[in-house]
Amino acid sequence: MTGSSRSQRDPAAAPEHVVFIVDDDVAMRETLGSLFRSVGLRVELFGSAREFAQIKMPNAASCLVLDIRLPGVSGLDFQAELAEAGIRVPIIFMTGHGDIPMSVQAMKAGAIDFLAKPFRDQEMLDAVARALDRDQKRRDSEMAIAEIQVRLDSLTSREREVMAFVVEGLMNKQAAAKLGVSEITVKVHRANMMRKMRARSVVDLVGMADALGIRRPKA
Amino acid sequence: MTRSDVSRPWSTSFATAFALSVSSVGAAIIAAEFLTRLLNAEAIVSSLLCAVIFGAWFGGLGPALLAVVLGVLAFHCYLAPPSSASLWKHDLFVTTVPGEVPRQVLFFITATVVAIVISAQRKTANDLQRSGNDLLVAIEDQARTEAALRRSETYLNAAQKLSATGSFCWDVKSGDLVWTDETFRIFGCDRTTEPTIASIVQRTHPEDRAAVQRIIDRASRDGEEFDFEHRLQMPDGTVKYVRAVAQAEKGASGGVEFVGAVTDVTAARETEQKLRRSETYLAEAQRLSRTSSWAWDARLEEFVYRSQEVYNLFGLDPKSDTVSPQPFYDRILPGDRERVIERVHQAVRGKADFEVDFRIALPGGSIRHIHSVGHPFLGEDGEVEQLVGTHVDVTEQYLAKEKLQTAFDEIKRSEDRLRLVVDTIPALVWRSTPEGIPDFLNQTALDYTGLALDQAETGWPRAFHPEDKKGMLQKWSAIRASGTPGELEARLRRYDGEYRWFLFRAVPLRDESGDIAKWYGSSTDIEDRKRAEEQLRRSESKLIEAQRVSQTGSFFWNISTGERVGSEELFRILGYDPSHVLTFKMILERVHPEDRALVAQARERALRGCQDLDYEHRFLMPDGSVKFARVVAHVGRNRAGELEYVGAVVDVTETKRAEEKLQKAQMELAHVTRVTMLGEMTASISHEVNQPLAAVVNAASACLRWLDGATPNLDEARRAAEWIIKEGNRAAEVIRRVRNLAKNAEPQKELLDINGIIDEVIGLVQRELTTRQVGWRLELAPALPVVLADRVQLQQVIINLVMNGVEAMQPIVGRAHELVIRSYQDEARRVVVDVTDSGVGIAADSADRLFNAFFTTKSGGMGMGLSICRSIIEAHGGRLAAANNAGPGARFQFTLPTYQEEAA
Repeated sequence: MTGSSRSQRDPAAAPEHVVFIVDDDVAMRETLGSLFRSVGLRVELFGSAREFAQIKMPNAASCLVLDIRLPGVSGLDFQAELAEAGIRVPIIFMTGHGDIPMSVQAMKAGAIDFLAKPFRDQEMLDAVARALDRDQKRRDSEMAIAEIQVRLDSLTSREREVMAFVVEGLMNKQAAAKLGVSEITVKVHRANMMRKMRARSVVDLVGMADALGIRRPKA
Repeated sequence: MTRSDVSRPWSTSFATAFALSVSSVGAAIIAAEFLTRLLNAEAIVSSLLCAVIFGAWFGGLGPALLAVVLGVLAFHCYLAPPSSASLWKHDLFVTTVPGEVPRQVLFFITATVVAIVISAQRKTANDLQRSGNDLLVAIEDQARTEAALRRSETYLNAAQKLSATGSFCWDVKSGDLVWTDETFRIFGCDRTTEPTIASIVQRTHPEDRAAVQRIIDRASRDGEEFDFEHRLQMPDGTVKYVRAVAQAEKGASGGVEFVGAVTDVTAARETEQKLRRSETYLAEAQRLSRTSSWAWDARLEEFVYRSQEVYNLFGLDPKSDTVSPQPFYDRILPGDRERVIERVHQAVRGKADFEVDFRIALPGGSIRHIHSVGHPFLGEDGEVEQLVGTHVDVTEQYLAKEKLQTAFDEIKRSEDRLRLVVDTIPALVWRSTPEGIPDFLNQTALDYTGLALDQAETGWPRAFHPEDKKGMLQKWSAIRASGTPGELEARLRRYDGEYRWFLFRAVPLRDESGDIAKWYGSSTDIEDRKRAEEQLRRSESKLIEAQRVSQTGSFFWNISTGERVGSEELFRILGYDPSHVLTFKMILERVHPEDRALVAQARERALRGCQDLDYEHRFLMPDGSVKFARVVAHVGRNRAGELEYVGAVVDVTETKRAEEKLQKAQMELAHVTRVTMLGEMTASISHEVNQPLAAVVNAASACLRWLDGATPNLDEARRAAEWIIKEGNRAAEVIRRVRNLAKNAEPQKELLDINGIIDEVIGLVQRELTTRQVGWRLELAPALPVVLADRVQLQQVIINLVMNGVEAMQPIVGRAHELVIRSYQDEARRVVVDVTDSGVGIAADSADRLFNAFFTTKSGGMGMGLSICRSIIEAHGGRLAAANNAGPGARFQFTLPTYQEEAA
């Protein structure tokens, strides 16, 4: 645990990143918060899962550091609850002694990491960095997909049909035959569609269709 | 002879007078003839004159004139006698002798004159006689009148005397006063004195003088009639009542004259007074006797008379309720009303006396009993006209009668009762002659012995037990000889041959001379008492034996008298000879020096008599051995109201030793279970240590980073360092607690706040609770009093209860696991700790054995936990109990006495 390694891996990139800490032990909560703040992270502390569940998630990359044993509801159950509610915040679990079976289950349910108390500070910071990174990426891709969706929504129904044929790899002529229109009409629709989708090429369009989950049926 | 008698010849015999005249003329003719013949003389004139005189005298003028005419005719005839009768008649007036005519005329004149004179004379004579008669009559009348007047005066006087009424006449002007005899008599004045107004006033009673004077003045001034009554004061001192009545008249003197009467009304007044008095007496008597009289008009159906007492009695208003019977009926109680009316009607119909009793309700609400008696009076038609009778208030009599009746009944009853009592009391009651021979036995005695009374007189000694008979007879003789009450005990044979013990008591009854008339006695069955006495003797010896065996000495201590009695065993425990008299000094000598203060204190308490005693102390025996004794005594009051302690001193040395051993063993056991428990809690404990350690590591890392930054943030670094210290201490504290629990130290009692203990325990088991998904809650009452206890042991109990609760909830699925720890004070001000879970609860079959050693429902349990907990709590003077909740789960609860309570 050296100063250099610390400075190298500190996840102090974006100040808007938030680390949520949920632990019923106030000392644990506060000291961990102090640790995160010392590397420039914004932290929000909660004594229970219930308190955390009541806040609105920020429009920024965030992660959750959660004690796996919480009064009232267990960390695992809470993890499930969040997933169910569509809150896809990355979770780092902290465990006490002998909670190995629980940690396995937590990892399976998509936890970023699993740290046994007491843990090394760097381990925790690394885990948080990873989590924030993943969350950032997730948020970015979600933003891109949303953009493409907007474009897709701007298409007319005929253009959308044409797009489906293009993604399937049909020729203009084939598409015209299927639609029962002239080839030239298909061409006009196709040009409009490509412009609206801002697709530079058919490959680009197929990528977009993939991102939106519009998969062409396997021929 | 009356006037009418005198005049009657005139009036009644007018014809007779004329006939007399005619006949006298005839007689005169005959006489003249006779005389002529006899004497040869002419006597006709004289005789005819005589006839005229006769006629005039007796017949008056008329007959006289007739006689004159007839005489003239006769004279004529005589002088010229007729040749024949016819001739005579014929010649009466024609044939006259011329020489005789002068004589005839003369005769006629003479005769007429004589007739007139004689008739006039006769008339005068008649008038004279008549006036003489009248005079006679007048004289007779006067004599009669005088006699009548005299008589009437006598009558008047008598009447005045009899009626005591004197009359008077008073000429106001002249002042003349005329009194009758009676008036004199009334005024008590002599007949000779001259009555005056002044003398009247003088004689008047001094009190009436002024009034009398006034009336007289008014009468003399205004001529006013008067009628007044006043009293006279007689010279002999007596008082007379007189009534003076007078009428004003015009007097002879021209002034006003009063004519009046004075009546002596003394008798009347006195009678009146007497009457009034007797009426008053009657009324008073009626009032006193509550008798009231009345008269009832049976025809009009109303009261014609009711005495004052009737109104008083019935509470009626004499002014308004006079005749109508309705108010009277209204007073009668409805239950009696018809009967009274019917009885009255019966009396009227049957014309018979009637008597009726009834009750009336007075306006005040009181009830009176009335006895009414009535007698009918029949009218002229033979029907009842009136009922006259009396009402008598017989309430008192009635009540007295009722009381008397009640008293009689009571006496009768009490006689019956007495008889019943004598015959039914469970004792043999008897009476004997002074010689000791029974002459009366009550039914119980007869029934018991089966003897008849005549048999008893001679056969009574045979009813006694042969062994007792002789002694009994001797004692009985001795009692009789002493002449004072006495008693003896002997067995008496029952009718079925069984002998039972009896107590015979005899009391002498003496007559006026002081000699014993009778002996009265009772014989009480004391068989049971005899048996009880025997039993008591036996049980006493058993008790002594039992005390010896149980090493328990008993004592009795009268605080007031200071009297102490100890049982043999007590002396043995104390190591004294039982012949000693027990004193406190002796006891204190044996008490262990260290316990003497305690014993003295207990004695002080006992002397105050405030409470039962229960304490333990040691005796140090002369041989140096130590005995443990437990003293238990109950305080009470004997019949004299004195404080008494009855108690026991138990030699508990053996028990004490065993107890000490047990305590030691229990302590060991508690330790073992504690350590076992800690072992089971390793995970939880390590968490409790780990948690602060993790915080320490975090804080230390953060601290370094804050210091290492481009611009070190010292504030943050300090705060982190503070966390390091705090959490380090926290970890150390956990370890200390665990160490304490694991230690096998001697129990040490100190003053503890139970809430603090609970908090510490929670610190150890918190992790366990979280791990086992148990939601827990503390409900601790603030400001609980402190308890005197061993910290570790109490912690052990609470941990045990909490862990039990947690275990009990493990099998529960689908329901919240909830554990609540409460602390509070109960009504007896003891501190209560209550651990409630929502687990499986206590099975009915295990409830009894829950606290038994080696009883467990857990597969890996030793079954010592609750057993140890109970002994720990009981060693602290508390109680541990368990029960199922109303809802799911069970509740374990222990109470501890507060420190103050213990000190007291």
